[in-house]
Amino acid sequence: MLELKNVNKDFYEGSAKHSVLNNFELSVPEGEIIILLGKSGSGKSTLLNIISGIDVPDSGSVKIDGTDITKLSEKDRTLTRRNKIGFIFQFFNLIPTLTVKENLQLPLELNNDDDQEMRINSILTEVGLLNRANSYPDKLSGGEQQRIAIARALIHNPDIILADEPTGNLDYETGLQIVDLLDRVVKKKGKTMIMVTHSKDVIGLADRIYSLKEGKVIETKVGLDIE
Amino acid sequence: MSNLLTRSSLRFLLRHPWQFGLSVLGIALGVAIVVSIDIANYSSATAFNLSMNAVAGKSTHQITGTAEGIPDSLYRFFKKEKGIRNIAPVIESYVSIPDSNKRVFKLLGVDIFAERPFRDYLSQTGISLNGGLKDFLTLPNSVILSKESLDKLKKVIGDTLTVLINGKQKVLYITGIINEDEQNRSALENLFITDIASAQELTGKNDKIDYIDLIINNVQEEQQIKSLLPDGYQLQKSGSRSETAEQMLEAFNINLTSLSLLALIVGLFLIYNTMTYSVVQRRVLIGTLRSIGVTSKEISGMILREALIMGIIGTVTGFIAAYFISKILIIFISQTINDLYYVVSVREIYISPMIILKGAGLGIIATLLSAIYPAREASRVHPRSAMIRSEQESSLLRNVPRMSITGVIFMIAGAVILLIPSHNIWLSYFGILPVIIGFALMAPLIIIMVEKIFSPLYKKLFGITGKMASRSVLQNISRTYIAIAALALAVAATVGVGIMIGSFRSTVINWLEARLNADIFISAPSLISRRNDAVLPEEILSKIKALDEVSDYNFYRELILPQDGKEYHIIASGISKRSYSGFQFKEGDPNEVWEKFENGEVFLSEPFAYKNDIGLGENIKLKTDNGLQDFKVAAIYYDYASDQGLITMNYDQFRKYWNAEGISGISVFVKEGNTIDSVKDKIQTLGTDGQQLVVRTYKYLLDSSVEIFDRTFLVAKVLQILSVIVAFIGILSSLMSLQLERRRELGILRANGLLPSQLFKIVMLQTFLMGFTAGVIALPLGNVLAAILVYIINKRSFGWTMQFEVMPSILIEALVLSIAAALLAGIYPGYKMSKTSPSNALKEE
Repeated sequence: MLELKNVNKDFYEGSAKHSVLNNFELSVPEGEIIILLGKSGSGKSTLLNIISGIDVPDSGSVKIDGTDITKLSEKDRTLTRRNKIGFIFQFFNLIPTLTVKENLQLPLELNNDDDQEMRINSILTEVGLLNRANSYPDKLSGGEQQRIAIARALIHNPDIILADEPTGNLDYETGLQIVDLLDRVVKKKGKTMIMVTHSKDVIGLADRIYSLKEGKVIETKVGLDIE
Repeated sequence: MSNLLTRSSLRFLLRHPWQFGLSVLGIALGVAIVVSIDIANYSSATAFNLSMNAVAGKSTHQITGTAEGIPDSLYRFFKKEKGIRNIAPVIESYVSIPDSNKRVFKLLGVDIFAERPFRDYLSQTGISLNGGLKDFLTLPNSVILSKESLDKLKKVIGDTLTVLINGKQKVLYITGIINEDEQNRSALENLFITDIASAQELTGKNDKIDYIDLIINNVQEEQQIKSLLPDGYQLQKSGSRSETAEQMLEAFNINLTSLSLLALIVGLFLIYNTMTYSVVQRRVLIGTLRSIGVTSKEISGMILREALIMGIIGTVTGFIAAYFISKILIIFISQTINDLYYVVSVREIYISPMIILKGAGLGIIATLLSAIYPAREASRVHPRSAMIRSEQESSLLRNVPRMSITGVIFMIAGAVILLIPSHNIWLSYFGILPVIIGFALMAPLIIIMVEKIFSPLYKKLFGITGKMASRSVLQNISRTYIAIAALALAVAATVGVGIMIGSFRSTVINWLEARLNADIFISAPSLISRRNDAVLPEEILSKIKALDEVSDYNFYRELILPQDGKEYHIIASGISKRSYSGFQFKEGDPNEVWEKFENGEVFLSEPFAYKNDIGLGENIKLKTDNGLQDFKVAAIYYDYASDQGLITMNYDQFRKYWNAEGISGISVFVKEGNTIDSVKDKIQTLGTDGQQLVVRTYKYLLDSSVEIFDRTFLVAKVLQILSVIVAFIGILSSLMSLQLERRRELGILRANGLLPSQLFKIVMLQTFLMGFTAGVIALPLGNVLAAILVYIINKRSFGWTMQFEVMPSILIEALVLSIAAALLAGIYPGYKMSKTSPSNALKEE
């Protein structure tokens, strides 16, 4: 269960104040997939950063399974993120100096998980890239890199997946494959996911869709035009 | 976990071989310079101590005398009348062999029957005497030497050997070989052993010996011997001569070590630079790691591990390089020691565990220290892509005022440390560090100022590419300033040491010109250029006085007086009035001092007064033949002949207290109407009884003194060059990294139609500006360093007052050096950048 209450976050440009999140409230039950829409600069990425503990709000609370992570130290926020959250980025952000297999191994090692070999093989089979286990990321296509990034986000079995425009850097066909993959490996596994996207193709995955506008969240119905 | 992170960072290093290799090279050079200086110093000291130990053997104490040694009757008194068993007489001298590239050997005169308890290799079983003991004892001038020495001299038993002892030619007879083993092989290599009677004859020490060796097992025995010693003789521990030698070289060694540390500091800038780059290049990667849960501590640990790996590889490489560099430095350093201090022949490299420990500690700890800040920066990288580059640059630019103020505070702190009244040389060097850091912190401000001036100029001269070049120095200031600061420091060190040497040189030349105010100088051949350890018979002086062509003359007798664990150098002068002007007094009224001098008061050279803390009007106690005697100080004079310092006194007064025969040197004024060369030739023929005379003209002596001076500073110059090489590597490394970082930007430029040659031009214009800026920083810093060296370090090290002289040629050379090093370092990165494929660069995210 993820719960954000009265979250405020401002940014300053010189002396001018920009309010990005304004008494923001959101509650996401376990296993639900939320899609966040909004214009550039509307605060979507800031919200993901705050949920993951990368950033802290100026005020308000962010509770993950009842723990307010805004009250935690930087180290404890990192450990929470390590344990409970998986990240999927627009630009994949695989570690270029580690092979595919090692990239997947990293979250497992961070969490001291067992059965690493088996879990890596299993998830690689699931994303259809078992044959690329020993390749370095720069030898993979964009779609393949994102599949590995999804596998990396899921391999340590986190409670929440945060995805920032996962298809934003891919062509249409590849984007569809990624949506299909997310459907298979995230939705069917009952994971909570908050995804920032502009892609209409992903919307079908959502349990709820929200728009961010002037720091507030508004629930949007499927089928409405996406700004 | 750390395993995967380590693997990742190792692969990062291997994927950037240029950066990695140059950093390792920078560390290696820094370590190599420090370690090689240590090895060279240690090898010289060990060679000296080994030869001392070979001579001292198992003796625990020595009885030393005054000027001319000890009468052998004193030895007989202890041996026969007092029944002391473990006692042996010794004469020590040096012999040089004219035909063997001026090789110098130590001549040790011993009583073979008294030797057994002292020197193993001299117990009778240890010597193989062809012709038996009889030849060794009965044949005059017979010597024995090690097999290795025999082989090197290409001699066999029974051969003769012509040598020079105290300037006199002598023929030695080789009658035996010393049995050597692994332990004493090196020490025996340069040793000639002769019977005590032959030694007396060869060295002209009739009825005298140099000292008496003793093995004393308890304090009572020591007290008993002390109580039996007549006035003027003392009992001292056998190691004290090595300690004296160590003291003599202390300042010399500290200064060399400090210069070598400077290279390491330049190396540190390089490591800092590289580590900062490697963090910057991986901001996104580090951000990703942070997003997936790697803690900031683990990130900084990863960077420090990388530094550790580079530190270890660099240090090991540095040790290997040090071995070879030290072989060259040993030649320079032992030459200087021979010129200035004592005779030493260094044939082997000695390395102590302490040198390894110090080198390894310096290399690894210094690397880790310089990686702390980049590691801290890495740990602060915001998760997910983090701060963008331009923000980082503008944050540095915003900090410039604060950095500059901090720089000024550092410089003031350095000045305060330097002004603390102290004789401690390390404290002075420690004070230089904040001054250097202060200047480095001012570097961004100076870069901004130079860019402001150059930007319109570059635009006018080179158009938009010129503008881009000057802007790129500022745009990448977080990278460029470290490289500029490192180059500035290396060049400043060159300027500082250059001005110091130049100032010192002109001070010495002025002093020599005043002091050498005669036409011809006569002395016995000496093995140490700076002092006359050999003497001429007094009859030479009488013969010179009698020459019609000579209008006036001076003479002196030098006496080395071992006292209180030090060596006091006394110069007893018979000086003509016309040479009074050769003395420049620091303290004492020139109108009064000479009368006091005639009456037995002494002049102290400036270093002597400084080191022994004796002032005008105070008394100095000296060990004379009649016991300790007080001498009042009439004046303190400027003198650059010896950093140990000199005590000058009137010759007639001197002879009242010391029975030191012979004359060390004579200088003469040629009467008008005679040519200097003809008088010189005439004096040359005055030597009798095989006595060789060194007769030199004013010009020759001046030139050869300056030559010795220049030779002394050769090591400093070598170290300077090595520091500049380290800084050069720094610039190269910075530019290579910038090229990597700006690949995409360069790709865009190429895609927009910039020619490869234009890209190359941008890089060269950029590096010119970096070199110029480094030069602008280096000139004031170099002058400050020079002032510190001249007024503080040299004063505290050697006690010399020098004139500070800024030579424009040094400043111009420094600016040219700075620009040339930067341009040279820019060639390869410029070439690489110009070859950037636009499509590849643009493809990269």
